[in-house]
Amino acid sequence: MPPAKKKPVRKKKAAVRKKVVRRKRKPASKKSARRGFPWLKWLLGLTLLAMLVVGGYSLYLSQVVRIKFEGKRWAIPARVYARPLELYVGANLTTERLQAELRALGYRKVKKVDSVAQWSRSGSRFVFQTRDFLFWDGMEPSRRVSLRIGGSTVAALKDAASGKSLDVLRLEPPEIGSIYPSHKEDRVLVRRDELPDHLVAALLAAEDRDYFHHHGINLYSIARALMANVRAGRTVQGGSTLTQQLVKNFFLTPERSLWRKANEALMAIILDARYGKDEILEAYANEVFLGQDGDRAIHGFGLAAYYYFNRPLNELNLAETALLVGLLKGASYYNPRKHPERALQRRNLVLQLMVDQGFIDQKTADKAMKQPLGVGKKGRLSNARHPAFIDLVRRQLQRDYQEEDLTSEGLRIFTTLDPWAQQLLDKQISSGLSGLEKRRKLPAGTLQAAMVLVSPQGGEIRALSGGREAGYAGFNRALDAVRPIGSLIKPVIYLLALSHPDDYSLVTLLEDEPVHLKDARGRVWSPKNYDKKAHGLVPLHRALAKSYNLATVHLGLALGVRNVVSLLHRLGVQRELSPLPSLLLGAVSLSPLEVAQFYQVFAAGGFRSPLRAIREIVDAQGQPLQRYPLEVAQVAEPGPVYLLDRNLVEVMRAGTGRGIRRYLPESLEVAGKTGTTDELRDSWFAGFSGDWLAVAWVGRDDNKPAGLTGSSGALVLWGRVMKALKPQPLGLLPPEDIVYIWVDPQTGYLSADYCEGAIAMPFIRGSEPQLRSDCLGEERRGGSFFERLFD
Amino acid sequence: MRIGVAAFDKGLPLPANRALIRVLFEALRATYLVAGLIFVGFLAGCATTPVPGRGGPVSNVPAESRVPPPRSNGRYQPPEVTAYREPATPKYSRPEPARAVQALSRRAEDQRASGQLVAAAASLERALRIEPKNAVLWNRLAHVRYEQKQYALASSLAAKSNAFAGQDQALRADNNKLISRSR
Repeated sequence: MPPAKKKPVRKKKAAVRKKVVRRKRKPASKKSARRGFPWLKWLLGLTLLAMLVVGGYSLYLSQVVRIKFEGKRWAIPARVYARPLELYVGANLTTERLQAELRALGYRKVKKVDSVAQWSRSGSRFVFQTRDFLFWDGMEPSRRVSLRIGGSTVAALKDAASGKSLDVLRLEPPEIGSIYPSHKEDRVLVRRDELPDHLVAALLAAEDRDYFHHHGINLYSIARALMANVRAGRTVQGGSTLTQQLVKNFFLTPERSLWRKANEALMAIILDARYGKDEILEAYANEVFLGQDGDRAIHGFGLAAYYYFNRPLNELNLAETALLVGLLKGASYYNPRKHPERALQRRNLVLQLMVDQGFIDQKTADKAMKQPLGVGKKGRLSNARHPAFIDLVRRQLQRDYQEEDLTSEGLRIFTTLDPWAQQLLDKQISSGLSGLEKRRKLPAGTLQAAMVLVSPQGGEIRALSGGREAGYAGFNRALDAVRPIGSLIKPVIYLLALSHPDDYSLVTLLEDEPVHLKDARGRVWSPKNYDKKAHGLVPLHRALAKSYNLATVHLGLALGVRNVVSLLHRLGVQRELSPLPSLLLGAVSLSPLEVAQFYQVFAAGGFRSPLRAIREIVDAQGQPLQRYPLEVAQVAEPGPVYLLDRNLVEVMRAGTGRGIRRYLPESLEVAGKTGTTDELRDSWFAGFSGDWLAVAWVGRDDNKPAGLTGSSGALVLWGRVMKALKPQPLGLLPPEDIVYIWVDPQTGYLSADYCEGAIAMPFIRGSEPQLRSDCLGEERRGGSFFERLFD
Repeated sequence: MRIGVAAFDKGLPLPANRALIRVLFEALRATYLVAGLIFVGFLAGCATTPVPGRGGPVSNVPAESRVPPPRSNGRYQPPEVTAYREPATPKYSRPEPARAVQALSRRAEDQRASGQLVAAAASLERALRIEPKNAVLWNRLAHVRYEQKQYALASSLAAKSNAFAGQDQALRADNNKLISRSR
């Protein structure tokens, strides 16, 4: 062989050696090649080629590792919070409710509070220590607080350390869900310095004792595992290091092949060479799969701590941490909720391994082994708890954010949800519907319902029910059941009338007489009253209280259907509406949420606030991104709205809403309106107290008649929910231009407090009746009152 | 996958590897896509079919007054039952605010004075959640919005304050001044 031929080969080899990790030299083959065995030449060539390929491949793998490891490693889902509970002296709060709130936050009940996230109770006195929480507008620092409840309000609120009384304290808001991407991986990131020492110790003990000493792979443990497997005849033990496990999860598909194993080992070595042990450990702790919650995959210890124990990782004790580490072996096989005995065994094994390797002493381990699993019931973070509300939040967010940002940027979203009210709502809807079905002899499960709870003055959506099964994320009826609203529309027509005080007051007489209207195609429309009777001349207020259809159609036609539509739009209904006369009787389909929007204006004295489910959004670092502020627009005059509201109070006292007396005492004034549609398909009720606005719908998904009127169906749910909420009375405040005047209820003539049957009615100043009743005496000027009426 | 692509787009030093890596990531993306499709199919299989609400005109007219005739022929029970008498000063125009509300108002005032208008508005909104009918809080919020040059909102907030102001003439005058300035 001419030496010239050897040279380039040598060079190549050197080049490879430089780039790649050590390769075996093959002096034997060189020697034989020289002696003239041509197949050896080929062997040499092939070996070199293989080295080149392996070298190049390693280089490529190293790039893959670098890109994934140094880029954004995970999509971090947005986390959604309920409203924070505000504590202050005078706040409405029962011991039951406070306990529920503290439990929801994962605080531990103890005898004596000596650390963060603990609470104790003796009688009506509570002591608890809050966690630090970074709100949109700054940090609420951890505080030890002493609180006393008297009656059902906060009687005292003090800093437990100094004994000084506190003005106001925001508890951290309970987390109610997350918005995770379509691959359904959910996680809460933790940094290396947030990993508790006992977690790291448990990890090493159970998974990889030489983690801090090996170079990515551990040949000794592979050999040991191999032996064990050969002896058992099947795979019983794995020899993977933490690094290899991370590589497997991070870069590779879950198939089991030798090729993949080789890849895994190579990448583990590369990863170990390029990055520090702590960095790899942090990635591992955030990557691993630790449970399945419906369609959501629980990844990383940060989220697993919340998912199983409802508290942050750093608050877990030794036993709890060991349980999580035990799950690495098989999160579904050792699922502590499904297989508590397996999980307990596994946990104790992890603890024993920790003893064996000297991380803890036997006494500590024994103590931990005696503890119960301590796993909370259903994962509290699960979206399944409030699917309808989360759905609403998601839709509101989608107007302003890309789906990708929501599911990957780790945003924190502060909502208006009141978990206490939501819980009452869910309970009352489910038991209320069962009760209705029983009373009506309907098969169980026939009826469906939707309900919206709103704060009247601020338009915050406090609770939302999309159906009778609260935990079921199905059809969200509160948003998507778009149904004819029936008589719920009537207040709009009456508000329009009362906004013309020269023409209409509460005592104006309306004609409740048959109507026959022809539509464009010549079909005749002749609406009827519910009792099939015509009532002749009736005062306006009674027509609304009794929900008379004929009087309302006459009134609406006189005002103009187009004007009714434009008022509806001003009140906040955004849907296109066709101005047909049938609209006057509710042939307009809206969702419960849309109904809540226009009733909010009635409840807020003519001021419209767009209904909101979100208050603030901050980014992953806690920097404020966006606020959805309290907005107010005056869309109706306070005077007419006041008259309408008084009329809606009459509905509840003496009209179609009288059934409310079964739930609320007469002294507690509320306002509202019933709605029923054709053949009793939809049963509606919308109404408000001083502090709650609620809209309820009851019907069937198949749209068959449910057999319920507004008062026999939706009002029942409304009453049950309101009763449970313990509402404040309406407390309407007459605007400046309102005067109360004694009138004769039959004629609407002026009267006096000493006249028999006279009642005081509110009027907009200047629209008072001119005619005097007999009791008031002489001066009767005939004609003008009726003339004015029928202009 | 989005993340993969984002990292990928950050730029690579070795153009030779680019194609290879791209292939790998395409494969990854395809895997996710297939998984996604399977999942969507699964969802579609599970989803309930909502029944759409009924639209169209109501032919047979609804009603609901099923109750027997009232005993009291629609008697009103207003707060004050005297002819031509002005309503008494309501208890919540200048109420004795809860200490929490006083503290939050003070904080808002400090924030406003130091130019942190967004924070001041947030504090006032927090106070309004505690006392939604406190006319003074609505007035303060109106002022903050005015300073932020949100005149339409300021005017509405001042009008809202008036709605709760009762006989508090000083507060009313202030609100009215703000409304006229906001025009």
